[in-house]
Amino acid sequence: MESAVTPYITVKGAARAIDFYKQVFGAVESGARYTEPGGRVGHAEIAIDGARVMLSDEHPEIGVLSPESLGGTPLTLHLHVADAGATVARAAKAGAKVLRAVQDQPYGERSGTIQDPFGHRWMVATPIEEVSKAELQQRVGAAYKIS
Amino acid sequence: MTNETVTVSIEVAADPAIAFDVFTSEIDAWWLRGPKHRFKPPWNGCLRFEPGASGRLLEEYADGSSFVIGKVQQWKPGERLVLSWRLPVFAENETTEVDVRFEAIEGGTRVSVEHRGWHALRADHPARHGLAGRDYEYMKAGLWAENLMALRARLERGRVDRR
Repeated sequence: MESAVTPYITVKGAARAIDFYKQVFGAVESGARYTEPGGRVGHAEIAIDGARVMLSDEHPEIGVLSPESLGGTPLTLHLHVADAGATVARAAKAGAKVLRAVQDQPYGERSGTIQDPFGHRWMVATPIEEVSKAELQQRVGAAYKIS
Repeated sequence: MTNETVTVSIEVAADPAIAFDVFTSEIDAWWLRGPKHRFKPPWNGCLRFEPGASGRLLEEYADGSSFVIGKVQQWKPGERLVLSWRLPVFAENETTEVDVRFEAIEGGTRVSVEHRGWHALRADHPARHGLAGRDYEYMKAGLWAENLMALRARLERGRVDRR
Protein backbone atom coordinates (compact mmCIF):
# COMPACT_ATOMS: atom_id res chain seq x y z
CA MET A 1 0.00 0.00 0.00
CA GLU A 2 1.31 3.38 -1.01
CA SER A 3 0.86 5.99 1.69
CA ALA A 4 -0.97 9.13 0.69
CA VAL A 5 -2.86 12.05 2.10
CA THR A 6 -6.11 12.21 0.17
CA PRO A 7 -8.34 15.23 0.44
CA TYR A 8 -11.88 14.31 1.47
CA ILE A 9 -13.99 17.36 0.79
CA THR A 10 -17.58 18.19 1.74
CA VAL A 11 -19.81 19.96 -0.74
CA LYS A 12 -23.40 21.07 -0.89
CA GLY A 13 -24.54 19.20 -3.99
CA ALA A 14 -22.02 16.40 -4.53
CA ALA A 15 -23.54 15.21 -7.80
CA ARG A 16 -23.27 18.70 -9.30
CA ALA A 17 -19.77 19.10 -7.88
CA ILE A 18 -18.61 15.90 -9.57
CA ASP A 19 -19.94 17.24 -12.87
CA PHE A 20 -18.09 20.50 -12.28
CA TYR A 21 -14.79 18.75 -11.54
CA LYS A 22 -15.23 16.55 -14.62
CA GLN A 23 -15.92 19.52 -16.84
CA VAL A 24 -13.26 21.85 -15.44
CA PHE A 25 -10.47 19.55 -14.30
CA GLY A 26 -11.13 16.59 -16.58
CA ALA A 27 -11.81 14.43 -13.53
CA VAL A 28 -13.11 10.90 -13.85
CA GLU A 29 -15.21 9.15 -11.28
CA SER A 30 -12.79 6.57 -9.96
CA GLY A 31 -14.68 4.85 -7.18
CA ALA A 32 -18.12 3.66 -6.19
CA ARG A 33 -20.66 6.40 -5.54
CA TYR A 34 -22.86 5.82 -2.48
CA THR A 35 -26.20 7.59 -2.96
CA GLU A 36 -28.94 7.42 -0.35
CA PRO A 37 -32.53 6.84 -1.50
CA GLY A 38 -33.18 10.56 -0.95
CA GLY A 39 -30.36 11.53 -3.30
CA ARG A 40 -27.74 12.50 -0.73
CA VAL A 41 -24.25 11.33 -1.67
CA GLY A 42 -22.57 9.59 1.25
CA HIS A 43 -19.29 9.04 -0.55
CA ALA A 44 -17.74 9.41 -3.98
CA GLU A 45 -14.25 9.43 -5.40
CA ILE A 46 -12.82 11.24 -8.38
CA ALA A 47 -9.38 11.23 -9.96
CA ILE A 48 -7.87 14.29 -11.58
CA ASP A 49 -5.11 13.08 -13.87
CA GLY A 50 -4.59 10.24 -11.41
CA ALA A 51 -4.81 12.32 -8.22
CA ARG A 52 -7.59 11.09 -5.97
CA VAL A 53 -10.09 13.34 -4.23
CA MET A 54 -12.90 11.93 -2.11
CA LEU A 55 -16.07 13.88 -1.53
CA SER A 56 -19.53 13.71 -0.04
CA ASP A 57 -22.60 15.80 0.56
CA GLU A 58 -23.04 17.53 3.90
CA HIS A 59 -24.02 15.35 6.86
CA PRO A 60 -25.08 17.91 9.45
CA GLU A 61 -26.10 15.23 11.95
CA ILE A 62 -22.44 14.27 12.35
CA GLY A 63 -21.03 17.76 11.85
CA VAL A 64 -19.82 17.17 8.29
CA LEU A 65 -20.38 20.61 6.74
CA SER A 66 -19.24 22.35 3.58
CA PRO A 67 -17.54 25.74 3.19
CA GLU A 68 -20.97 27.16 2.32
CA SER A 69 -22.36 26.26 5.74
CA LEU A 70 -19.14 26.99 7.62
CA GLY A 71 -18.67 30.40 6.06
CA GLY A 72 -15.29 29.64 4.51
CA THR A 73 -12.53 27.09 4.23
CA PRO A 74 -9.09 26.94 5.82
CA LEU A 75 -7.85 24.61 3.07
CA THR A 76 -6.36 25.20 -0.36
CA LEU A 77 -6.17 22.27 -2.74
CA HIS A 78 -3.05 22.56 -4.89
CA LEU A 79 -3.51 20.99 -8.30
CA HIS A 80 -0.96 20.46 -11.05
CA VAL A 81 -2.39 20.74 -14.55
CA ALA A 82 -0.88 20.92 -18.03
CA ASP A 83 -2.10 24.48 -18.68
CA ALA A 84 -3.08 26.51 -15.63
CA GLY A 85 -4.34 29.41 -17.75
CA ALA A 86 -6.75 27.25 -19.71
CA THR A 87 -7.99 25.43 -16.60
CA VAL A 88 -8.64 28.62 -14.66
CA ALA A 89 -10.44 30.14 -17.66
CA ARG A 90 -12.62 27.03 -17.92
CA ALA A 91 -13.33 27.16 -14.18
CA ALA A 92 -14.35 30.81 -14.33
CA LYS A 93 -16.68 30.08 -17.21
CA ALA A 94 -18.26 27.25 -15.23
CA GLY A 95 -18.96 29.52 -12.25
CA ALA A 96 -15.77 29.60 -10.19
CA LYS A 97 -14.50 32.85 -8.74
CA VAL A 98 -10.94 33.78 -9.66
CA LEU A 99 -9.23 34.83 -6.43
CA ARG A 100 -5.75 35.30 -7.97
CA ALA A 101 -5.23 35.55 -11.70
CA VAL A 102 -2.77 33.15 -13.29
CA GLN A 103 0.79 34.44 -13.37
CA ASP A 104 4.35 33.23 -13.23
CA GLN A 105 5.51 32.69 -9.67
CA PRO A 106 9.13 33.04 -8.50
CA TYR A 107 9.22 29.40 -7.36
CA GLY A 108 8.88 28.10 -10.88
CA GLU A 109 5.16 27.66 -11.33
CA ARG A 110 2.59 29.43 -13.38
CA SER A 111 -0.43 29.48 -11.11
CA GLY A 112 -3.70 31.09 -10.10
CA THR A 113 -6.24 30.52 -7.35
CA ILE A 114 -9.94 29.93 -7.74
CA GLN A 115 -12.86 29.33 -5.45
CA ASP A 116 -15.14 26.74 -6.99
CA PRO A 117 -18.96 27.13 -6.85
CA PHE A 118 -19.03 24.89 -3.76
CA GLY A 119 -16.66 27.09 -1.78
CA HIS A 120 -13.44 25.10 -2.13
CA ARG A 121 -10.23 26.93 -2.96
CA TRP A 122 -7.88 25.48 -5.55
CA MET A 123 -4.43 26.68 -6.47
CA VAL A 124 -4.12 25.62 -10.09
CA ALA A 125 -0.51 25.40 -11.19
CA THR A 126 1.72 24.37 -14.06
CA PRO A 127 5.42 23.81 -13.38
CA ILE A 128 7.51 25.93 -15.72
CA GLU A 129 11.08 25.69 -14.43
CA GLU A 130 13.31 24.23 -11.75
CA VAL A 131 14.47 26.89 -9.31
CA SER A 132 17.33 26.27 -6.89
CA LYS A 133 17.06 27.58 -3.33
CA ALA A 134 19.86 30.08 -4.02
CA GLU A 135 18.10 31.37 -7.12
CA LEU A 136 14.81 31.50 -5.23
CA GLN A 137 16.44 33.52 -2.43
CA GLN A 138 17.70 35.98 -5.01
CA ARG A 139 14.24 36.32 -6.52
CA VAL A 140 12.33 36.86 -3.30
CA GLY A 141 14.96 39.14 -1.81
CA ALA A 142 14.30 40.28 1.73
CA ALA A 143 10.66 39.20 1.72
CA TYR A 144 11.55 35.65 2.84
CA LYS A 145 14.49 33.75 4.12
CA ILE A 146 14.69 30.53 2.13
CA SER A 147 16.04 27.48 3.96
CA MET B 1 -43.74 12.55 2.18
CA THR B 2 -44.05 13.25 5.89
CA ASN B 3 -44.93 16.58 7.48
CA GLU B 4 -41.33 16.89 8.65
CA THR B 5 -42.26 17.57 12.26
CA VAL B 6 -39.39 16.65 14.54
CA THR B 7 -40.28 15.21 17.94
CA VAL B 8 -37.71 14.35 20.59
CA SER B 9 -38.10 13.86 24.32
CA ILE B 10 -35.91 13.06 27.28
CA GLU B 11 -36.48 12.30 30.95
CA VAL B 12 -34.49 14.30 33.45
CA ALA B 13 -34.13 13.97 37.22
CA ALA B 14 -35.23 17.50 38.06
CA ASP B 15 -38.51 19.24 38.78
CA PRO B 16 -40.33 20.82 35.83
CA ALA B 17 -39.69 24.29 37.28
CA ILE B 18 -35.95 23.67 37.46
CA ALA B 19 -35.84 22.01 34.05
CA PHE B 20 -37.61 25.03 32.53
CA ASP B 21 -35.31 27.44 34.33
CA VAL B 22 -32.12 25.70 33.21
CA PHE B 23 -33.46 25.24 29.67
CA THR B 24 -33.99 28.98 29.36
CA SER B 25 -31.62 30.83 31.69
CA GLU B 26 -28.60 28.53 31.21
CA ILE B 27 -28.99 27.70 27.53
CA ASP B 28 -25.51 28.88 26.59
CA ALA B 29 -23.99 26.55 29.16
CA TRP B 30 -25.64 23.38 27.90
CA TRP B 31 -26.39 23.93 24.19
CA LEU B 32 -23.57 22.25 22.32
CA ARG B 33 -20.91 24.31 20.63
CA GLY B 34 -19.28 24.54 17.22
CA PRO B 35 -20.61 24.75 13.67
CA LYS B 36 -22.67 21.62 14.08
CA HIS B 37 -24.91 23.21 16.70
CA ARG B 38 -24.41 26.96 16.83
CA PHE B 39 -25.86 29.43 14.36
CA LYS B 40 -23.31 31.71 12.74
CA PRO B 41 -19.57 31.89 12.10
CA PRO B 42 -17.17 32.28 13.83
CA TRP B 43 -19.19 29.96 16.08
CA ASN B 44 -18.29 31.66 19.33
CA GLY B 45 -21.61 33.43 19.91
CA CYS B 46 -23.39 33.30 23.23
CA LEU B 47 -27.00 32.03 23.39
CA ARG B 48 -29.36 34.00 25.57
CA PHE B 49 -33.08 33.99 26.27
CA GLU B 50 -34.76 37.25 27.05
CA PRO B 51 -37.22 35.86 29.58
CA GLY B 52 -40.96 36.32 29.51
CA ALA B 53 -43.87 36.21 27.12
CA SER B 54 -42.42 38.90 24.86
CA GLY B 55 -38.85 37.60 25.03
CA ARG B 56 -36.53 36.36 22.33
CA LEU B 57 -33.75 33.82 21.89
CA LEU B 58 -30.57 35.37 20.56
CA GLU B 59 -27.05 34.41 19.65
CA GLU B 60 -24.82 37.33 20.63
CA TYR B 61 -21.33 37.93 19.30
CA ALA B 62 -18.23 39.53 20.73
CA ASP B 63 -18.47 42.47 18.30
CA GLY B 64 -21.84 43.46 19.76
CA SER B 65 -23.96 42.11 16.92
CA SER B 66 -26.56 39.40 17.38
CA PHE B 67 -28.77 36.97 15.51
CA VAL B 68 -32.39 36.59 16.60
CA ILE B 69 -33.24 32.90 16.50
CA GLY B 70 -36.82 33.40 17.56
CA LYS B 71 -39.51 35.20 19.47
CA VAL B 72 -41.27 33.70 22.46
CA GLN B 73 -44.91 32.90 21.84
CA GLN B 74 -45.72 31.12 25.10
CA TRP B 75 -43.68 31.36 28.31
CA LYS B 76 -45.15 29.20 31.04
CA PRO B 77 -42.41 28.42 33.58
CA GLY B 78 -42.40 24.75 34.53
CA GLU B 79 -44.89 23.87 31.80
CA ARG B 80 -44.37 25.03 28.30
CA LEU B 81 -42.22 27.18 26.07
CA VAL B 82 -43.17 28.00 22.49
CA LEU B 83 -41.02 30.14 20.23
CA SER B 84 -40.46 30.84 16.57
CA TRP B 85 -37.17 29.49 15.26
CA ARG B 86 -35.18 30.80 12.32
CA LEU B 87 -31.82 29.94 10.86
CA PRO B 88 -29.40 32.45 9.34
CA VAL B 89 -30.10 30.99 5.87
CA PHE B 90 -33.84 31.71 6.15
CA ALA B 91 -35.48 34.39 4.03
CA GLU B 92 -37.39 37.12 5.86
CA ASN B 93 -40.73 35.32 5.51
CA GLU B 94 -39.47 31.86 6.49
CA THR B 95 -39.82 30.48 9.99
CA THR B 96 -40.39 27.32 12.00
CA GLU B 97 -41.78 26.78 15.48
CA VAL B 98 -40.36 25.05 18.54
CA ASP B 99 -42.74 23.80 21.21
CA VAL B 100 -41.15 22.52 24.43
CA ARG B 101 -43.26 20.83 27.11
CA PHE B 102 -42.15 20.11 30.66
CA GLU B 103 -44.24 17.31 32.09
CA ALA B 104 -43.88 16.04 35.67
CA ILE B 105 -43.17 12.32 35.86
CA GLU B 106 -42.07 9.99 38.64
CA GLY B 107 -38.67 11.27 39.78
CA GLY B 108 -38.43 14.22 37.46
CA THR B 109 -39.58 15.74 34.21
CA ARG B 110 -40.15 14.65 30.64
CA VAL B 111 -38.90 17.42 28.38
CA SER B 112 -40.47 17.07 24.92
CA VAL B 113 -39.52 19.16 21.92
CA GLU B 114 -41.73 19.41 18.87
CA HIS B 115 -40.09 21.34 16.07
CA ARG B 116 -42.53 21.98 13.24
CA GLY B 117 -42.80 23.91 10.00
CA TRP B 118 -39.86 22.46 8.08
CA HIS B 119 -42.15 21.13 5.36
CA ALA B 120 -42.70 24.70 4.14
CA LEU B 121 -39.08 25.00 3.03
CA ARG B 122 -38.59 24.56 -0.71
CA ALA B 123 -36.89 21.41 -1.94
CA ASP B 124 -33.54 23.09 -2.66
CA HIS B 125 -33.48 25.22 0.50
CA PRO B 126 -29.96 25.36 1.96
CA ALA B 127 -31.28 24.51 5.43
CA ARG B 128 -32.27 21.09 4.09
CA HIS B 129 -28.69 20.05 3.35
CA GLY B 130 -30.15 17.98 0.51
CA LEU B 131 -32.55 16.06 2.75
CA ALA B 132 -36.34 15.72 2.80
CA GLY B 133 -39.05 13.77 4.59
CA ARG B 134 -37.95 11.07 7.02
CA ASP B 135 -34.28 11.66 6.29
CA TYR B 136 -34.64 15.30 7.22
CA GLU B 137 -36.59 14.50 10.39
CA TYR B 138 -33.98 11.95 11.37
CA MET B 139 -31.14 14.43 10.89
CA LYS B 140 -32.87 17.18 12.86
CA ALA B 141 -34.01 14.81 15.58
CA GLY B 142 -30.42 13.64 16.02
CA LEU B 143 -29.23 17.19 16.62
CA TRP B 144 -32.04 17.89 19.10
CA ALA B 145 -31.33 14.60 20.89
CA GLU B 146 -27.69 15.54 21.37
CA ASN B 147 -28.68 18.90 22.83
CA LEU B 148 -31.32 17.42 25.11
CA MET B 149 -28.74 14.97 26.41
CA ALA B 150 -26.50 17.94 27.09
CA LEU B 151 -29.38 19.62 28.94
CA ARG B 152 -29.84 16.50 31.03
CA ALA B 153 -26.13 16.39 31.84
CA ARG B 154 -26.29 20.03 32.90
CA LEU B 155 -29.33 19.42 35.09
CA GLU B 156 -27.90 16.36 36.74
CA ARG B 157 -24.49 17.90 37.33
CA GLY B 158 -26.09 20.92 38.98
CA ARG B 159 -28.62 18.96 41.01
CA VAL B 160 -26.89 19.16 44.34
CA ASP B 161 -26.34 22.91 44.11
CA ARG B 162 -29.95 23.66 43.37
CA ARG B 163 -31.42 21.87 46.36
